Amino acid sequence: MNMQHCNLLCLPENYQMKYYFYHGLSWPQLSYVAEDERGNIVGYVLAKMEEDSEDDPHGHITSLAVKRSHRRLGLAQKLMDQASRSMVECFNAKYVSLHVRKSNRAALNLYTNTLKFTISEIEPKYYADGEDAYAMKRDLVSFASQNIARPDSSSCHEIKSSAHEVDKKDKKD
Amino acid sequence: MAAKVHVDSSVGERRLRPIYDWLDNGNNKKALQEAEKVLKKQPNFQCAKVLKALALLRLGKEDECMQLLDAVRTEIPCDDSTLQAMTICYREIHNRMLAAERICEIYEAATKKEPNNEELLTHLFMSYVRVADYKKQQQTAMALYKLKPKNPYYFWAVMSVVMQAHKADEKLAKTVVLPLAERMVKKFVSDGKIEAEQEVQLYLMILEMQGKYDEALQVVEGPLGEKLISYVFIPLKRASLLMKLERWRDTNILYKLLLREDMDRWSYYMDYFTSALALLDSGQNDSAKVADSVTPTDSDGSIDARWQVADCTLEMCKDFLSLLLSENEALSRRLRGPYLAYLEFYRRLHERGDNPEEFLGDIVELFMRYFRNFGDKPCCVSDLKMFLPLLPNNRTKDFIQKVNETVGLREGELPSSIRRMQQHISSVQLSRCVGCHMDLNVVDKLALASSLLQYYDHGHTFNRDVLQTEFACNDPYALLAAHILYDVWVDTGSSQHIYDAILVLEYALTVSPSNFHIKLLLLRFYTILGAGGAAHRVYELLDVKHMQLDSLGYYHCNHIFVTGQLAATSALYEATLKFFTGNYKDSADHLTFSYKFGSFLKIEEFVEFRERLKNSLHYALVTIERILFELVISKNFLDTVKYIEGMDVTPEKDKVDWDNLQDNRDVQVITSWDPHLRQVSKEIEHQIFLDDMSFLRIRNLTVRCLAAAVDIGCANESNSPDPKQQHHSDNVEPVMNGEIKDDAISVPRYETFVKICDELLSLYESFTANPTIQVSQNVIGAPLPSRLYGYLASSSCCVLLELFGLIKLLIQDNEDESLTKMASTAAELVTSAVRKASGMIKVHGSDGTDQLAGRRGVLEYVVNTVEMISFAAILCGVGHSLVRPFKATLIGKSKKKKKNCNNQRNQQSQLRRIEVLNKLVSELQGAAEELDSALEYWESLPPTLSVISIFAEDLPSHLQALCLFESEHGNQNGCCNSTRSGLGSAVDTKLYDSHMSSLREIRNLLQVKIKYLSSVKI
Repeated sequence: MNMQHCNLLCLPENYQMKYYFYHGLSWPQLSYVAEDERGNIVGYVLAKMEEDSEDDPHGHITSLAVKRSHRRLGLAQKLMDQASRSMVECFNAKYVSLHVRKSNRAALNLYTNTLKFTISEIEPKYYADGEDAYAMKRDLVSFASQNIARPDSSSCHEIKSSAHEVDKKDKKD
Repeated sequence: MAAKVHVDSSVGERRLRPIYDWLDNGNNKKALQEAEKVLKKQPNFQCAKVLKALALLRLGKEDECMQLLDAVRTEIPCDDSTLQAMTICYREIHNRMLAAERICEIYEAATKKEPNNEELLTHLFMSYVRVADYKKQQQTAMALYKLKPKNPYYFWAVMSVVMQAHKADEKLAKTVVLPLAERMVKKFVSDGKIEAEQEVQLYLMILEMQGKYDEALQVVEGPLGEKLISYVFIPLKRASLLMKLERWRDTNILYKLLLREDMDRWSYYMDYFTSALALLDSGQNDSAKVADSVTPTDSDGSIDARWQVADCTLEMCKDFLSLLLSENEALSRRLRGPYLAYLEFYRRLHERGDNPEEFLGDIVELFMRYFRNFGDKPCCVSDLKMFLPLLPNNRTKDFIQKVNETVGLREGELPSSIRRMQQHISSVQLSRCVGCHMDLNVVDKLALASSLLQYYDHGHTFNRDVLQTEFACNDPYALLAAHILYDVWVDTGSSQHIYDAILVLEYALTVSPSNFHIKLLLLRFYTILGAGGAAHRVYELLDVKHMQLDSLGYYHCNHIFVTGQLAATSALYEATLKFFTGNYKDSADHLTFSYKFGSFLKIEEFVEFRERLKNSLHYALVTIERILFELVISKNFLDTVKYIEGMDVTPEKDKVDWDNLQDNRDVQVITSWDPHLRQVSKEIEHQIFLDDMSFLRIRNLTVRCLAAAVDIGCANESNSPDPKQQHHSDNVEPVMNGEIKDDAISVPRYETFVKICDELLSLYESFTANPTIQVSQNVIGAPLPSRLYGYLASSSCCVLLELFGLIKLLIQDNEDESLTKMASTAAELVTSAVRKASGMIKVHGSDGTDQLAGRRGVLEYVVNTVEMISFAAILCGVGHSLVRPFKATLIGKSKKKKKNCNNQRNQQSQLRRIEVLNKLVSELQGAAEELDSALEYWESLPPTLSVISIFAEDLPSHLQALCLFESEHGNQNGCCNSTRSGLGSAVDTKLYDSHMSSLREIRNLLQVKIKYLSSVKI
């Protein structure tokens, strides 16, 4: 909801306002924003569940953006992990997919190296300007099980914290 | 649309299909034909009738559409497809409020006929949502629940009750409405019927609205809490409830645990400190007591005990911060939170009057600890900015020196890596933030700008991998240089420096086309130079849309008119108003969706959002300005009358909701690295708001006075013997119901006019008696001064007041002398305004003047003068229709001798009136022509940018062209003023073209006004 006040100038994607609302209302658990100390939005992830696949539930990242001034601080990873976790917990998602421009090397690097996405196929001329897209996937089954199995071995802080939460939930169940 | 509809009979459906298809394809003519064909076979086919109405509406025949719809409405249709089509129709008609009510009515009628139709009832509920009728929402939802006991329906009813509380006054809300909502949910809880997460959230909301935090906490921690599956929700909710309950100890421990999991979450720190300090102040110093209920996670014993005690002394807080710091330093990637937390703690202690240095050590060292880790991140300065005021003046030098040592570049040495460059950028930004740039003299400032441009140039080497959609990594240098040049402009007033800043930014934009910081500054700088056209081109690059039309509108939309860019002004007003009105409709859709999805928490937010836009000052201002703009450009009096009728301006009613106007501007949009005192402060923000509010007041009254005057003119005409103009003023019923005086002007109409004219007069007097002071230009982020100042500086308001007085006299009798006097005063005022404008233009064009510097001011004065002439022309038109009947009777008498004339004196006075009016019109025409020739002279001036000595001249490449310092040498050597090339000439052309197009548009308008004036002569 805060996204509507978000200064669209700062972030590259300019969807119609309706589109943000659609995500927010349909899957309120999946989209997150990162704010600075004054409440300005410095990044967001907009995610949804694919509606046409009930027997193979999976999520899709519609948009991920972090303001340039707040890059390389681990924000994108945190946003993505939060969205992925919620997909597993709320919708039992098996994997999450996304599209990325072939030319966007920084994003590709983040997705493949940090977030362990793999390229599933190339979609020619996916973007309006004619550029090809990589369709990528991340397996959420192993993402979830990893977090439960080895909570402390991971060096990554976000993952540690989420593992902790999952633990708690297990006990309750 | 077509897909949703199902018709009872398959035959009907088959027949309707082509109509839907044509409508969907936008071929309304074919749709109409098809509908008529179907109706020939089946004359009572309701849905076909409605679709015909829809086609008619889309063909612009709203009246016919409404007739047809009304006819169908009386038949009380109940089938879904007909009702859906009617809904679509109503939503597209002009009068939205009426339409929304009609939609309610048709569903009310239909549900009365078929009370057990779930679908119809749902539609009825949603139609109430659109008009925010919460009571009826509640009733309908309960009816639905009785019909089909489904949870969502029940909670629709609960939410409708909550919304009633939102609207009611606080006491009623807390004593009656909310307790009712609570009881409704409790009943469901005790019956064990709660199903969804959203229902629990709604329950929590109801409890919190009543301040029942204890109970809310019980819900979160109790069995219902398990329904709350969004994993970030529970701990945060718990923590915030504990905080509200002032259970500081529990709050503190909970936040410590949250911080353990996420030590980069700023809000956790804030609440941690708040709770710790509150605990300290409460004096509950029993640190031995082990935390109790709130630590469910400690059961496995894996967490260090230090995380599980509440910190109730400053020492403990300090220990906790160092615990976080050591954890953080063990991470592969360090986080900023723990370092900034020290500074925040320092700030809080400082605020309390404690001695933070004693606990936390030297402030410079705290800053440096952050800088050593994150100096190479672009977020560095924005992180530190809020703490810099803590730095005592006598430590700034020391701080900057340490920063520079860390960066480690020798004098003139260029950074060897992107990381070092970013560090260097941070260091320059920091030294600007602490005020180092303020003390420099002009020469040193220019030298600094020049050296930054060297760094900028060198920085291109690091841009190889940067995409076009990304900012270039050396952009900050160009921005800093532009800021410094702006400083020099503030110091010297010489437009040369703004021009240079534009060159720097235009160049940077070619390298980094998506950097909006560059565009925002360019927009501002072009506006300062009066180049509205060039500014508008930059504005288009910004691609401002949606909310931004409101939040950033002040930046351009408010100023474009006075630069004489009329076409662009019109387009901007149009786009802005379209957003606001469209939003009102769209946000109703969002509300219905919120109910459908059960997102109850969002409903209040949507309602608030909707109100926020509805009450936007910018919206109100643009609405009024658009009306005035249309009046300015109207071609003749008939045009004016038509427009005023179409706009349904009601002179007797002030439509602005003054008490609720909101300032939705984003005044922080320009990032500046200026010291604290030169940032946009709350005071500046408030003053700008008040200024624009004053401007809105005066403009709003102006519109109403003008409309009232035109109204009187029309009323007079429609009752006159002249039947040419059949004016139907039945849409102004309250006025028409008044009695008619013998001179054919209804009393209330006249009284309204007199009353609002008096209001305008006293408002104007109050402004001139207590002038406000413009916001200083030395705050780069501050909005440009309100148009109020330029408007009051012109004599527009005086002229209008004189002319309104004149109209009053024309309606009354026997005041011929003051009539003549008023007319000549008005004419004199206009003439002297024109003289002043042409004087300004002359001075402006004389040799050696800094033409760019004064251009904006002169243009604004000229445009205000043209506007003044336009309004005067309208009022002459009113005068015209007031005296024309006299003339008509005079002619009638001389020809047919039908009517009996009372006395000769009256006739003479009528002649005198006509004479006075004609003289006024001629003088106005003369003034308009004089202004036009002054503008012609202005237009004839050569593009003499050569009058200013431009730095960026005669240098081999544009990069060097940007190197200010060297080019200053060039200046001294006298090799300036030769042919311009590259970027310099592109900027010159932009400035010149913009200026020429402004003048062209203003002159065209003046020609229209001269014609307008000649048409109102008698």
